[in-house]
Amino acid sequence: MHHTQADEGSLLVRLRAGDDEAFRDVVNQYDAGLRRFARGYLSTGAAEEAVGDTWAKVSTSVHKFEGRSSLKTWIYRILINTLRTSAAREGRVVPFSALGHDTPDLSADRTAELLADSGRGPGYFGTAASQWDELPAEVLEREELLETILAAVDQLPPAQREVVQLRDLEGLSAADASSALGITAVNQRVLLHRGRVAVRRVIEEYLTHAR
Amino acid sequence: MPADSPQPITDDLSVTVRCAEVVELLTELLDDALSDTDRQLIEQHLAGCEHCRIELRHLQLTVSLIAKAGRQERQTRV
Repeated sequence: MHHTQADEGSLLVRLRAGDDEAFRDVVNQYDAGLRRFARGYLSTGAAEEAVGDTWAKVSTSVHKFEGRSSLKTWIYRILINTLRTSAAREGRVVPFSALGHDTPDLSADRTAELLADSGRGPGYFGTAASQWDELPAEVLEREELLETILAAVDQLPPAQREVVQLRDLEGLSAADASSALGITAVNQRVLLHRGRVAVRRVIEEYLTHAR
Repeated sequence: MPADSPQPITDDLSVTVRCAEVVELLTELLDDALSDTDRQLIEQHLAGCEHCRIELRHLQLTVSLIAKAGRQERQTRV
């Protein structure tokens, strides 16, 4: 379930009024995603603690939320700030852009990749791509495949994982994901593309053996 | 073109783009983040290149399967 703008407006009114049921609804909706995100950077125990701290801050600060982003983006921003604090407390170097480190302009990397590929020309695809998108829905929606996809997202390099999680698992817009992670729009798209391509390879591999 | 858009491939619509360039820009095409010229170049290429059309379909399906996996995870935890 994703909240529409109207739903979110009424939900916010209830949250600001201290409605416990509304708070439980929001926790049920986003908690699993927050835990998945936090586990990418902290031990399970520390991740749980960071998510707990995040919910406490959401509860005490929701009256300050001005609605300039979606509620989900705001909650993720609180989590990211909490992770930053936890990482600093543990003296950990957390290798991802969400913690406020500037990432280099990845479009330069992409240009280099394109130049490296430039000799391929029209024969870029060595072999005909298999058309797994034409497989029946019961194969494409198999629970095992969906679990394989989640595991593939978890195994992406951190910077790709966080973008794929926010954009494709959680459904944040490009602007909201870039803003929550503190990265440029261009880098967000390059990381997203690389992450999607890597997950796509895992899907293709799974379906090749599943036929 | 938005200020945060990548450098356009070219302003010249007569230029032919390569598959390697097209597949790198498919996420930007799906995000509607390309300049008008780049979008037209990519769409022209896609119209004549079955391999790149398959790449686009596979990327779209990947995005939709990741979203479905996320929805399933949320449902099983609620």
